[in-house]
Amino acid sequence: MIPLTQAMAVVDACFVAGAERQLAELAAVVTDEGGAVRAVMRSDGQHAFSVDIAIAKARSALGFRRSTIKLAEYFGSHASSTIGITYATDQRFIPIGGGIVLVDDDGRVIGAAAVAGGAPATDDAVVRAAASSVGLAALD
Amino acid sequence: MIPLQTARRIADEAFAEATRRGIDNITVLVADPSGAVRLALRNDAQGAFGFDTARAKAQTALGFGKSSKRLAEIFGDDPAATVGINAAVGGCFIPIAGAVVVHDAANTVVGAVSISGGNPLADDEVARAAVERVGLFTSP
Repeated sequence: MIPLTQAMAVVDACFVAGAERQLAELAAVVTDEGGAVRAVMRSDGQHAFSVDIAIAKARSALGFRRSTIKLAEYFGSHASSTIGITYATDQRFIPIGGGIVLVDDDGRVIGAAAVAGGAPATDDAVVRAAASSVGLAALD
Repeated sequence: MIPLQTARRIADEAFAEATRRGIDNITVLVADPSGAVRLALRNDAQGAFGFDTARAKAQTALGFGKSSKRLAEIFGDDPAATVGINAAVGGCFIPIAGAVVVHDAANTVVGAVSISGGNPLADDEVARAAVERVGLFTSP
């Protein structure tokens, strides 16, 4: 399980990576491998929904063992499946870029991380850069 | 509204205070005045429910403008009211000590700080200590 210190490092790195990409307002979350929140922060000017969205992105990535930007490629054109899965997962499914499954050096899944604040491709780039900067990687 | 930088200091103070008391299984959560999460950190020793219970306690305190400890005193012997209110507010009502409403020197509510995981009365004391150490104030 990802230690709190490492989860916080990932969240902090999301804010840094966001600033580097002119994304000043965002929410970033890290969950454990079961999807339970370990660390979350929302910047001062960012709206409230972004925390719920980031958590849902993290859980969506874990649920399919696939980054949400890749999930978006399929589900973006399969509305019925998206709706069905949303209900089947107690409405925790948001297949929009910004969520990744976190793996350590041994390729073990240790949790998930997600950003909600910009365009999906930006959120995805931010969370990947953040994970990489603290020695972790995205599963895909 | 509590700025994120202040929320981080509150979390640091809360973990330090908990450690001084030999408590290691807590989540610290800071919410804005509407109950939306600004920051949450779940310690390594705490189980998966920590984030949800801390958030619900924060929403509970803000919902009534009283600490969840005070609400525990008010609602402790009234399960019918507890169940009814919980249903009416969408399931986030947990009248258990640990969450405090935070206000500034002008008595404006700026958010809530919520601790979940230890003994509830200790959670309340940790929350109040953390708020006071950053120069803010708590309601009874």
